[in-house]
Amino acid sequence: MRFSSLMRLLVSVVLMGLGMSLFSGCASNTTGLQAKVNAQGDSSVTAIKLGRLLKVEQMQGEFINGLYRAKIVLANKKKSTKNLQYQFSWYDASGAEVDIDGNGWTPFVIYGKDEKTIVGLSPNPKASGFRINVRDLKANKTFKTNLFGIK
Amino acid sequence: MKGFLYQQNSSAGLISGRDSGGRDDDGRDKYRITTLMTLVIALLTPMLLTSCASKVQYGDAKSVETVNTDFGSTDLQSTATQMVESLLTFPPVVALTQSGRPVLFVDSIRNKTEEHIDTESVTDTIVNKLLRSGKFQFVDMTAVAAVQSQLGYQGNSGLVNPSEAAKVGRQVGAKYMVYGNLSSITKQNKKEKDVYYKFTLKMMGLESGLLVWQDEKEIRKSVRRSTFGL
Repeated sequence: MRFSSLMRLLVSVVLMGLGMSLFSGCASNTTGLQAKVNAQGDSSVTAIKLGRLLKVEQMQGEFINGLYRAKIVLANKKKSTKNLQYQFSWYDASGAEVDIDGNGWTPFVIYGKDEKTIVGLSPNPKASGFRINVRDLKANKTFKTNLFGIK
Repeated sequence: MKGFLYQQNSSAGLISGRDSGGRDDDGRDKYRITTLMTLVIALLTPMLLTSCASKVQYGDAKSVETVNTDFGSTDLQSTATQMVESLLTFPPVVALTQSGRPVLFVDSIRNKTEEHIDTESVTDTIVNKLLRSGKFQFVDMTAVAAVQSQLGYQGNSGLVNPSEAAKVGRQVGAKYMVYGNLSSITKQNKKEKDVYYKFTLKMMGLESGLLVWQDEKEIRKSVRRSTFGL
């Protein structure tokens, strides 16, 4: 009886271990923090993953030379340096996205207990609102390599 | 040898089984555990290896690429974006674009790094963004030979209706020239490599020879080998 319970324990441990390695290899969290300002000036922040790390100190949109410029100030709540990435999306007055394929993810560094100002200009004159996504730099990989080869 | 040992063990188990039933059970359980463990591992290992086998996938063209420290797509995209933002928001340039759309031409961007970098691709992205902003117009110097050949055909071949042929000598001359260079500083030791890129872009008035605008974008990329890494 002692051994059959040990056997079950062993099997479950092996299963758990294998299951974990199976899932951790393929899944990566691609969420982060999202901040929006629409054409009417209403703003909202949704932090799914980086809420404990980042705080949105300030965000605003303004027109320069007929083009919409977004400005957002992020604060690092932790003491350690973080490698993150951001991407802007632009919206017109009716709330539809413009320049859908136009904006790449840009890496940036934010030091411990420091603030970082991120500025983005929409080259499209129609833009009058923006959304910014911030996420961990590690969340970018489509392919992941582990001990068993390329995934 | 293994078979012999196994027989020995099992016979010992049998003998001892006569003395106490508990030990016999232990021996069988041990055997079962080993068999079951082997089965579980044998079944799960192929699952582990096949479930995430290498396959072709379409990725996000805009995602951050960190394969190595070479100048990559992320650097191209972020450099172009920052240059365009800087040019479009620089106050004297804002004043220039208030009254009309200035005509620009792009000279080559010199690659002073040790890598092979398609600088024309960087220029294309910048021109693309500037044109879409509606603030500038461009003269494409890479198409001059083709345009000359086409105009020559329309005007001199005698095959095109003269009233419909494109008139020669009516092209608009560029007032400003955009040019720049890309340089890098690479430092490395056995464990670490650090690459610093500097992309400088300038806009010059052709008549006056004055620099109207200039900006630079810096990128630092570093890689550190792990202790057990290859």
